[in-house]
Amino acid sequence: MLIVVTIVFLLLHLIPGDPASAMLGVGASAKQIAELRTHLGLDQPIHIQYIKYLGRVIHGDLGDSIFLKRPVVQAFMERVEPTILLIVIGLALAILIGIPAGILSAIRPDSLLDKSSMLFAIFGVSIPTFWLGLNMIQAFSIRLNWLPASGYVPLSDGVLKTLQSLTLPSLALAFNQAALFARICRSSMLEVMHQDYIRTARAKGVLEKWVILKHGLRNALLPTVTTVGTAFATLIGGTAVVEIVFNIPGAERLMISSILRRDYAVIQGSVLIISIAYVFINLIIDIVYVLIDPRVTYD
Amino acid sequence: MTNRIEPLNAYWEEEVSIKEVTWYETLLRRRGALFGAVLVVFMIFVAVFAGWLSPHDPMNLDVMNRLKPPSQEHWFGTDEFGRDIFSRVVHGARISLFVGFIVMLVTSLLGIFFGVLSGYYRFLDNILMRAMDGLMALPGMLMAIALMAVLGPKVSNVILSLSAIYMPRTARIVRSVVLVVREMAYVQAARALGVRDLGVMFKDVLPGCLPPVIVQGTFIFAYSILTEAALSFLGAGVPPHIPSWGNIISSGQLFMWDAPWISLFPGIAITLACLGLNLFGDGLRDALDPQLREVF
Repeated sequence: MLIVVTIVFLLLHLIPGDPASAMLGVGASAKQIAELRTHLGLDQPIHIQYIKYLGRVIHGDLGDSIFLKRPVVQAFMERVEPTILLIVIGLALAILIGIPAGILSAIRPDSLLDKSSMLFAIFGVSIPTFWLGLNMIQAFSIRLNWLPASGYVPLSDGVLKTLQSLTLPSLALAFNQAALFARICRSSMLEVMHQDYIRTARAKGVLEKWVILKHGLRNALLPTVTTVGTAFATLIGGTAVVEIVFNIPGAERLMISSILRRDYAVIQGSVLIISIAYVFINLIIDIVYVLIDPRVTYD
Repeated sequence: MTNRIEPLNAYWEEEVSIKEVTWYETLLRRRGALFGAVLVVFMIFVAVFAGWLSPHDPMNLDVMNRLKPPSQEHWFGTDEFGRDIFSRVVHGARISLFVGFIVMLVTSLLGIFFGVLSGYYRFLDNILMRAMDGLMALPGMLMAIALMAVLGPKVSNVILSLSAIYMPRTARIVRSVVLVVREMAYVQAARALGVRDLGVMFKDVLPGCLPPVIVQGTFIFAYSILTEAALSFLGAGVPPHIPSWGNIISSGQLFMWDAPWISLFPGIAITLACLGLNLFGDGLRDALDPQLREVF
């Protein structure tokens, strides 16, 4: 966690030249730049700046947005709802599509189903998410007029409407990950199904359905659970493009527009919040890992 | 009673007659990998001969012919400034493949450097791997966006950010191989013979690390193309006037209804390039090191 905070702290110092003049743009006077430098504490030695930054982060103060004239945490929280929903629905869809596809392919290797789902999988990992999103808008919204093309309806206006506005974006987001899950699940399932204990279970006369679900899947799920952690990382980064393509006012869209506005406090704050959330999620995945596989222990 | 005793060496002869299957033969037998290799070679050919293949100047404005659908004159149509999309996509291959290739090279070299150091010298292991963990603790794309935000839109900065996010993975893989290889008898023998550390690292340890690095390299090549396109699309990648695939798609976004061809063709190009690299990478992985299947 400390490493994450340190990296985010150093981000501001990576700006070529003076961060204060970069923030204010070309037209700023020397006095304004000096004032901002003092305001940001940039005139102090770097280790003092670092200690002060750590102190502020512990108190939940991530600075103020120059452009929005609000604390970064507040601005971020106002926009976080669609981003969280996108990630959660996207991940759920990826699991619901990817894992069954992987299991079905592994049960009947080299069948038509296996070949078609693996073709889908290899295409899935090669298609850029934002381009897929644009084509989905083109097909399902503009030509067929089935779903809204862009925008977001908040949860307070009705869950159904929210889900409707998030269907296409979360599908676009899930596609890549579903493909990845299908590939990993298939290969680990194939490996597990050749193990001795599967043969033993079959010899005992256990129903094939239970052999697959209880003996096979439970063991094959382990590598897939690890992939869920990586999928989270990809989804967190991927929502930025999806929010832009589908015009969703989410937290990552705020970050991208802050880049154009050179609102570094927002960029720094958003990266920090999202990264801390990511570290926590990985911790939860480690715990889930122990629950699924009692053999795994952490000292 | 005569028992025919088979000469013992008959078994040996039988074994000798089994031809050893080399890794490139395995690779050639896989149709997917072969198709992938052909796609990659084709894309590299397009990128190298972009100037010769494109019928128009990719930057040439022709307002009279703006937003024209695909025709004999303009195979992929024209954009909002009348620029030829085919020529822009062909030139875009140069940028995208260049970025992908350099990122692959940089991550492999740095990954080998840090991985070998960390696996070979245990006292460096803790420091280096904690630093790598820190870099990997941040979601990759987010980190790339943040780095591009502070460094500014430049091709060299895209390469720098992508290398920073992908290098730790290669370093980790190399380290894990080095940890195994350094305990092997031939490495111990070399050390016992008094070969210097640098010699052991280059001659004995390094060759063992190459197969996984090459396989990982093809996947990083594909990821980099995808991420570069996404960064450019967000306006945080290659400067907008350079015709990279992500930039062309981004400019076509506004004309999805009137001129869907602007973003259609560069998207197909990205998908084909990544498809080729992924298929080729899968084949290489199976051919070079079947045990790696679990890692990726």
